[in-house]
Amino acid sequence: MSDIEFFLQQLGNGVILGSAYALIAIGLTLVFGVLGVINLAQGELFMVGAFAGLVCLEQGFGLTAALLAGAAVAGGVGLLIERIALRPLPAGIDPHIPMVSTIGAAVVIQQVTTKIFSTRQHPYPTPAVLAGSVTLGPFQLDYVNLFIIGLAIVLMVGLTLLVQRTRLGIAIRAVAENPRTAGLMGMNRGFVVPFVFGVSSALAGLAGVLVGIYFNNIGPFVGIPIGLKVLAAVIFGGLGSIRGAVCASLVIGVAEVMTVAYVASSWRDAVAFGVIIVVLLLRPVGLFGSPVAQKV
Amino acid sequence: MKRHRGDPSRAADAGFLRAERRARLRLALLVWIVPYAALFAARYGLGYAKLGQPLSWLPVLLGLQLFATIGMVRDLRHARALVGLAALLYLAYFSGLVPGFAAVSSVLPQLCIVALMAIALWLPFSSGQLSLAQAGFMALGAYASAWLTTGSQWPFLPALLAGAFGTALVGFVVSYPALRLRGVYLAVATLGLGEVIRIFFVNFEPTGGAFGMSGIPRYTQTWHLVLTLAVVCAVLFALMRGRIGRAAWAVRHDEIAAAALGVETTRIRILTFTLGAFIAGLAGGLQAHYVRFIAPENYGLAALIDWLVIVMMGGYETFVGPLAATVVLGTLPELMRFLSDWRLLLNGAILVAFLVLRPNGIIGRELLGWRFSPMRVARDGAAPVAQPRAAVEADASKVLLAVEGVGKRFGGLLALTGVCFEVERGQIHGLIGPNGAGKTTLFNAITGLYAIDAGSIVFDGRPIHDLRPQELLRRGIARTFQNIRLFGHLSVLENVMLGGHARMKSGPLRCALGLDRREERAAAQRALQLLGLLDLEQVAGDAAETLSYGDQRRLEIARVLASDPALLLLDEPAAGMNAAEAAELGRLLRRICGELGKTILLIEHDMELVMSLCERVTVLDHGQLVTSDVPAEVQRHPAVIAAYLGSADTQTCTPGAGRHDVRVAACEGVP
Amino acid sequence: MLATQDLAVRYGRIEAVKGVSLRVGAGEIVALIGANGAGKSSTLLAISGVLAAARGGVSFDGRPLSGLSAHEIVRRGVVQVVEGRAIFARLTVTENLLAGAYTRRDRGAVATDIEKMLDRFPRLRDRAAQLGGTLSGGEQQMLAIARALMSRPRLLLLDEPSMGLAPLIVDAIFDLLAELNREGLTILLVEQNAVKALGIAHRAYVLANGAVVDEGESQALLADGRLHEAYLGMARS
Repeated sequence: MSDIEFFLQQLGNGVILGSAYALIAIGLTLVFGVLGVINLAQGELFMVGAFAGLVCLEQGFGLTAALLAGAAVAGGVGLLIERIALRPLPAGIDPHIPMVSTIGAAVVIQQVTTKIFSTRQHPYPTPAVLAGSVTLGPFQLDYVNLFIIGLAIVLMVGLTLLVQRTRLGIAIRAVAENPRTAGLMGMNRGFVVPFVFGVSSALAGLAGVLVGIYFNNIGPFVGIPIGLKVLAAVIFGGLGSIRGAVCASLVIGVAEVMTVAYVASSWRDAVAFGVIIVVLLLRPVGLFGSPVAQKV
Repeated sequence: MKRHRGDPSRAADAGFLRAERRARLRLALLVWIVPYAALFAARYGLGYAKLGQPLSWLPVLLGLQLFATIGMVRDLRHARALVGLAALLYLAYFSGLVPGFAAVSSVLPQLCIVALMAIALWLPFSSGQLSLAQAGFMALGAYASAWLTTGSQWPFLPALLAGAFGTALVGFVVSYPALRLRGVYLAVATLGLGEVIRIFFVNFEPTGGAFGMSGIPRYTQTWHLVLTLAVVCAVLFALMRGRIGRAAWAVRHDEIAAAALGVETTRIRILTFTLGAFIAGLAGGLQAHYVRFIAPENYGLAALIDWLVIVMMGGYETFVGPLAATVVLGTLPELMRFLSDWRLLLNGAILVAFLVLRPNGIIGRELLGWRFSPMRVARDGAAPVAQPRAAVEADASKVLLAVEGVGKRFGGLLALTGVCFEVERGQIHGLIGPNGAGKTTLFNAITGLYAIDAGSIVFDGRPIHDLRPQELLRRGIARTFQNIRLFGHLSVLENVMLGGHARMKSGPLRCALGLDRREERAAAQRALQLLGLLDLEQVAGDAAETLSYGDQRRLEIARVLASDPALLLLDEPAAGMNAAEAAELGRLLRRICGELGKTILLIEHDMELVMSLCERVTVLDHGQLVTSDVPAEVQRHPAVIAAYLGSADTQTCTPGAGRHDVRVAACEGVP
Repeated sequence: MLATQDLAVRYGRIEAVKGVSLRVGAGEIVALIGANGAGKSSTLLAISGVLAAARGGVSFDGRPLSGLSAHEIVRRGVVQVVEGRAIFARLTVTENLLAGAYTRRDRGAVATDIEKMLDRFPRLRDRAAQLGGTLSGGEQQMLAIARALMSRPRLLLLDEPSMGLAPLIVDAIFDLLAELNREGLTILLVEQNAVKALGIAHRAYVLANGAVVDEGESQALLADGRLHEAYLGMARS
């Protein structure tokens, strides 16, 4: 394979990885928009969904069941996090506290998973329906890759439609912008917040199943690097901006793959962190983020 | 000293208290009963035998539960008694009375290192910066010192200090860009930095890469660790109990108010950040030469979470919080040796549980009885300090503040246009105008929070419109805020002493060496005198948030007086006061003007007060000057009346005869 | 239609509203006027459920309103347009209107109502797809009122609709309010611009320091000099 073909192949891989990241990143940014909290347990929700899908596939259920299981389990755990680690926190506390609380939740989730599934890597079976590939010129496109991109696009479009076009989407955006006025219009924050949290967690879980299939293995410690990379993407794109999250995720996915291909695989995680640091130094609120004005 | 929790005699509050008591009872049940119930269920219900006998968890849980209960009781005396009980408990553990628990000598080194790292994490956090890079700093110190001792055969102390100072240098460099970040952004950026450092060492072959570095000489003795910890604690105690500690508290809780009081916020942040890195580097070097083998994986997130739980659980107010929590949590591995692989899980659960229970941590200043300036010091007074009188030179100009053609725009909105007026020395000058007229904007422009787009502001003959708030305070301009920006958890006296921050000279070095005591005493006495002037001497030791509203407003005034300014800008000082309180305030302000020779510019809506108190009144409307004159004239001025009561002449613009309809939108004027 | 009984509102220890009792009859426009800081906004916020009343009660159509949450009060037909408009800057004009109709279930009628609103406010129709944050102050005020109307309220509460707006636009807004009232909407209006408010109101209450110091028909209040004193301190010489 020529150099250009190799480059394009890696680019494609990067886009696929980035799409999976985007699914997780959208959820993270949505939660920040509506709750003002960076959910550092998002990576663990990804991992939990992956394992739920793994159990399904190992039991012989098909792809659809695995995806649904991943989404449902992750969504459920996410709702638990919101209920136990975030909602009881009183108002007006140090803004670091909710984020640190999600760190605690993340640790608990990771540890419980290692107790159930042990600390080793688990092989991830490829569902029969996705086995095989199609050849296009010099490129071999696995069905797995096509499916991931396809599903990611469908979900992203669907979520954007939900947020931009539906009545519920208006409520989500209104509550994110001004909870008090939104309440005056009859929008119930007590419903919107858990809903957004649940959806964002379900997306992360779904992405977990997809990435598990893509790499053909999964381990309980994958949540941390994934979580931090997605965090990098969300900060890069600006907290609260869906568009930014998607763009930045693709960039980070490509950058990561390129680093592994052209530099060294042991630096792969550093790319994301480097991005976080550089972006925040240049523009402390991220690319698409909006500065928070303080009333004096 | 009892904790204040509102006045229970109010009927409305009594129901609230009952509900509060029920909530705390529920919490007590949750803390004391539920863990055992869960253990029983897991052991016998789910048959999870590895958990062992539930009662064997008693030593593990008891310490934690006691610690949690300290945070739940209302009465300080009860809380302190519980602290004593917990101390006895841990003494029992350390003395070897508990079967299976090793004596103190084997646990102490590890505890010291964890304590040092917890303090390293706590220090920047005490000024509002959650730096999650401390694991990376520890790695830098460890690798640097180990490199020097193994590779270059340096002796222990120089290598250790080189590592620590080198890490401090890195911290210093990082602290500058960190200034631009706030809150969670800073936490995330530093998290990234810490991980980048770790990954660097994974890839750095000369130090062994991912396999780490071995064969480090065993230089560290237990007494080294204990001594280091003791010295660090002593230095921090001296440093944080006076001017610097007050300033750090202020920066953490309200940066804008801190800046307005003259606190150099950037310096405080850089100081705490760099010191935190130093301590982390020191701890890293000490640990490397104790365990003899270091690898990048030791400096990852698992360690960071250990320290994070300790700091969050212990409390951010003093370093004693992290110290106490280190004892409680650091002993868990020993107590739970039979379940060592549950430690991380327990850490996470404890973190969440304690954050929900007491987000600010268990140990606080109030519990310890600490103050940033003991009342005792203030009352130890010798001769009363002479009241500094602002001497007015014979040739000093009459005009103290001149606002000339000031304009300010926010995007497309013209907040201020061509505002001109003068404030004369010794005058009480009122600034009034309807809502949204631009009064606070003008204040913010004068005090350096906003930059103006046109015109100039001249104070005492020199232009001031591009100076920072701290600089303006030094020139003699001090302000209060529309919504009270007091430091609620600090005492009344401490708040006033913060007001005098810029007048004090002791820097970090003098404070750390304990050379600031005389200046502290003088400042405390000055503060107490000011409180006497404002009739707040009785409550000098109470927390500011427990004061009545009127008292809080007076405290604000005392605080601005502490910097001995020439010009006071008061933003709605009478807001929320009734007629009697407002009249009292008026008398007070007149005294301040007369006896202390101050000049006052105040924004107010209470017209009775303004008209009776002010010698001159300036009126703003829609960002423009309406008039600046004596009160009697202002009250008669037609434009002023129109601005407040509204204009009588309507200008409807009707396309068709007689139909008042919104299709007039076509005739809209300039928005 | 609406009545408050000894309503009191506290912020921590300060009593901003000290026992206000007022009535609004069906089909009336009632104004709450007074100097800044008199407690007018707090009274309104207590009625619409944003603030909890420390004492006293609010009743609407004979049924109690106090204790209900804000969005339940909206469902009863009492809608507030808050001070400073508070439209959603990141939503389009149409979406803002949809947000106003959130509690309604009849989607077809909502769509019709949106059309009617855009008819009534041609300026908004021009900007229907633009983000709320790009509108001028006057347009935002109209949007805020239109949005409130979307939930088909029976009582409209307005907090300082004239604030920050040029006189011509203020006139247009008040003309609109008068017209809405003629069509049957009951309005309770808080205003600093007393003359303007009394121009369209049937009755008014004057607040000072959290208590009602005067009330009566608009004409009567305009005529005597007590207003002046309430606003500008000492009596006019």
